[in-house]
Amino acid sequence: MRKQEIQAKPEAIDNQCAAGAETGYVRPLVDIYEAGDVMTLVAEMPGLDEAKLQVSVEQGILSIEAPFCSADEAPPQHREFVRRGYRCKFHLPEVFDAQGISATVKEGILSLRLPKAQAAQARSIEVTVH
Amino acid sequence: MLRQNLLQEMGQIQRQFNQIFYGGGLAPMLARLTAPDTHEDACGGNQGRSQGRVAVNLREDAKGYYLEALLPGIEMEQLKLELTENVLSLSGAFNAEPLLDEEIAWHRRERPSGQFQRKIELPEDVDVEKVSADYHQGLLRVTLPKVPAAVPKKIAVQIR
Repeated sequence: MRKQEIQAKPEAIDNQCAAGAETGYVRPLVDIYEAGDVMTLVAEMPGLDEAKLQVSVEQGILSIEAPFCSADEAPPQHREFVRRGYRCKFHLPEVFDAQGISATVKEGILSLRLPKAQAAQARSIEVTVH
Repeated sequence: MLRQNLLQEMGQIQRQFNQIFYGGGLAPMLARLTAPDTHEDACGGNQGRSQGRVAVNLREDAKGYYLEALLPGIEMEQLKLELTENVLSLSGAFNAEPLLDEEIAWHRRERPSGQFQRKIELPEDVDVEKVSADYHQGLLRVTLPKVPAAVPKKIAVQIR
C-alpha cells in the first residue's frame, strides 16, 4: 500500500513520455459515499502508473490525474480494452477540509478520505438541565 | 426476470471469449480486430468493464502469447488463476462492500461488483508448465510461452 500526501498547490506534473506515445485519458469509474463525518471517493484505475499519479485540490476543485505512456511493443492481435491515462475533476464543497484529505493506492484502486471541516460538522450542544 | 437476463448475458460472454483462442490459430483473433471497438461508452470510462466482465487483450509473438486483463482491486487470495488441460480460467470477485459500522449514504456508485469468471481455451503450442502471471495495480499479465519446438530456430549453415 502506498500513501500519498495531497498537495494544496501541486507542482507541474511530468506529463512527458520518455518512450512510446502518450495515450490520452479516460474518466475512472468512481464510487462516492458518505459515512459519518467522512466522504470517501474510490476510483478504479487498473494498470495505473502510480509514479505519475497526482491528486490535488486547488480553488475548490479536486483533481485526479495519472497519465499513461504506452509501452514500446507490438499492439495486441486481440483487443478488448485500450490502456489510457486517468483523469477526473470534482467540485469540492467548502465543508471539506482540503488539508485533511488522505489518499491510498492499492491494486489499481485510489481511495480518498475527505473529512469534513470541524466547523461544518454537526455539533450537538449539551443542554444543562437544572 | 432480471436474473434471467443476467444469465443470458453471461452466456453470450462465454461464447464470445471461447472464440478467442478457438481452433488455436490467430484467425479468429484477427477477425475480431476488424470489428469496431464496442467496449467504450461515451465518456470512455468503463474501459471494457461493462456488466462486470473481464476485458482481456492478447498478443502473440514468436516466443509466446501474452494476456492482459483489467482486474482492479482484487486481493491476491481472491484471484484464482487455474489451468485445466488447455483451458485457462480466471475467476474472483470485484468490489466487496465497504465494511463500515456506520450507515452509508451513496452519492455515486459506478464500480461493478460481483463474481467474475472467464475461461480461455489455449492454443496447442502453449507450454503449460511454464505459464507465469504477474499482478500489479489492477493489471494482470499472464505469459504463455510456446513449446520450444514451435519456436523457429535459426541454424547457421556453413558453406565450404
